[in-house]
Amino acid sequence: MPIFEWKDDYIVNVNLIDIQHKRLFEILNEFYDDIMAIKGQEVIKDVIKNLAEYATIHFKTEEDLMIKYNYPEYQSHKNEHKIFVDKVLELMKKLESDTFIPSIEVLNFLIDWLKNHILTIDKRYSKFFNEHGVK
Amino acid sequence: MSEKLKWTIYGIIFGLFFPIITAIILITCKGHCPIDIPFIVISTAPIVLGFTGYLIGINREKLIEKIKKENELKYTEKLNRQLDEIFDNLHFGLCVVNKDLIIEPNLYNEVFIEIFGENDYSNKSIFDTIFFGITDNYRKEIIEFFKIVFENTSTSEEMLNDFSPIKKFNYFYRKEEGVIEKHIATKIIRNIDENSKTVRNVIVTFEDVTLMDKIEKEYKEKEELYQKRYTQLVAFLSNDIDIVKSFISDSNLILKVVSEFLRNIKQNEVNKEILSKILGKIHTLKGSAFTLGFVYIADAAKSMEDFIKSILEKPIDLATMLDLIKEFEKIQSERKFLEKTIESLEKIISELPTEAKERRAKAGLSSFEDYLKRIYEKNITPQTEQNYIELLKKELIQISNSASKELNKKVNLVFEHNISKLDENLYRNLKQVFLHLIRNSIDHGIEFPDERIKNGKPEFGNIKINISEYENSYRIIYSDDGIGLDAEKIKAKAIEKNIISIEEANKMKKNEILNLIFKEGFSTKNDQNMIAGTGIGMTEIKNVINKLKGKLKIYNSPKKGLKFEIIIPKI
Repeated sequence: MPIFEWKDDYIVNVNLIDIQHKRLFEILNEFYDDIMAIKGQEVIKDVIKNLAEYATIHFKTEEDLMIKYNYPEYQSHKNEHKIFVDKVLELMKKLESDTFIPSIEVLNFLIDWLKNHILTIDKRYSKFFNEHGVK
Repeated sequence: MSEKLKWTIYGIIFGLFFPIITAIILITCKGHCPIDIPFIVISTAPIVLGFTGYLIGINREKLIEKIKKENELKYTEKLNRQLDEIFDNLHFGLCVVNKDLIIEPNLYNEVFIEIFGENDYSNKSIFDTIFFGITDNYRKEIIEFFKIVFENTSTSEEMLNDFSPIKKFNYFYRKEEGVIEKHIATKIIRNIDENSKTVRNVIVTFEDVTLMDKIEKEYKEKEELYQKRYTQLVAFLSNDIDIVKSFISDSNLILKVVSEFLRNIKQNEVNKEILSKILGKIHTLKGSAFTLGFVYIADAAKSMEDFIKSILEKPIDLATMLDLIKEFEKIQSERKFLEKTIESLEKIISELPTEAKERRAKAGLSSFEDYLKRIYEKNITPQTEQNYIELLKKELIQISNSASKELNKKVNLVFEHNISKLDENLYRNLKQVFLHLIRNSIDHGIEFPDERIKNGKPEFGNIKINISEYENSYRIIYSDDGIGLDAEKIKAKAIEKNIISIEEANKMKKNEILNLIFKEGFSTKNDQNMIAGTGIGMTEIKNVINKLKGKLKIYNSPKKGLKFEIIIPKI
């Protein structure tokens, strides 16, 4: 059983986005397994790089949909994305300069962010998109 | 003199002219007056004119009062305007709070609004605005603080600001672009009523120090990084390159073994056996890192060692496991950092001479090149097959030198052997055994120089190692001329540490008692330092020798020294 279990609460009812959210959970679960296998420091850079790449794709999917259906909170949502990207970039910069970051701290940050992002911010557009017939 | 009085006197004086002039006219005209002024006018003129003067005086007074007031008003207005200007152009935010910690109406400036992000703060409590959403404890602390600020007028502001719980705090608020965090520094200034000596209200200044903090933090991190690189470079350059290289690969092996152990830890169970094994490995790593001066690795290892000791007897839950992994990752990261530093240094050393040569051709001789060359020649030896027995000798002398320097002792190490070739595996194992033996000898066995002289021993302590190779085995004699072992002390310590019971102890032969030093958790010295004294080292020796299927014997001469004989079969 994965450590961060996917729950129905996380579903935003937009198929493509739900699939991407699940994939983000998977990435974090894999990272957790690596940490427990004492491979945290080996994989940390790759995990963050992969995550940044995947998050970029995911954010673009969300933002494109928002533009298409003229979502009123588009700007603030986009800003949330930017804050996350900035934070990830900062992490990457630190890792590049060989500053020690415990992998568990990175995982905690990511999992907190993901849960918070889906449950509070993404949930807000769920109803809007459904009303506009997006599934 | 008041205006009223002044003008009344003017009136009377003027009025007095009438009777005087009349009198003069009467005298000069000899009673025959050309003008006929009624007597009543002449006689009452001083009174009438005095009264008129009085009325004028009242009016003047009123007028002056009015002008004065107008001027005053103008002045206050001007002052207020100036104050407003100063208020709004201050580089820090400012507000005035009353005793109930309510912000006084309109008494806050533009910068204050800028910092805290809202528009209207008049008559609002600081806990609904600046300190919204703080913990109950923090709230209590702030209330207590302001109570003192308002009531203890004798306490100086300087002291209050020193102890202020809001001296520095973090302020969060949600804006369109997300949650914003600001670091705020504050100071308080009291507005004291001079008459009653009570505090009317308190001015609080706020300075946004977010950027300053960030710059300071970055600077500190950079400085630490440079310091670290520098320390490691110094350590690297003051050691023999072969020893450093061997440390890099040794430590890599140790960490690999430890990570395997870590993977085998069972959650929610007591894992004493595995943890003890890890402890032994980390202890060895700590020792060799410390010996070579790689203090960052040594510190990280010490931290992990301490952590393991605290959880040795406890079931390992997930949180503990994650903390343990964190400790381990720190060592991994420090080792990696060292490896990288050395790699880049080697790159510089191997690349620069050619470049320097070219430069010299262009610009004449450069002493820098010669300097680099010297380092280069010192550190880079041709990569031939490693002579492990010579490497071992070099390393052990190094270990002995650094441990004795650390502990202010004087030690000579003599290393003899008749071995032509030592294989890598045996070399690594022997190094571990000797590492612990030497450190224990210097820490516990060999006395301080003055003590040695007093006991009739030479100032320098002696450690002798002799390795002889036979057809089927190696025989190793290790000896020091320190104080040897005290069987009674060992017995007492073993009982105290619950390693044996009193009954068992009384039945034991002397040699059996001496062998107790190899038991887990045994140590006769109370203080732990980086050299020895944790009782892990001796257990580790026993483990290594068992692994090699070897045998170990102790020969103890109290006050004269200690000797170990180790026989290791060839496989």
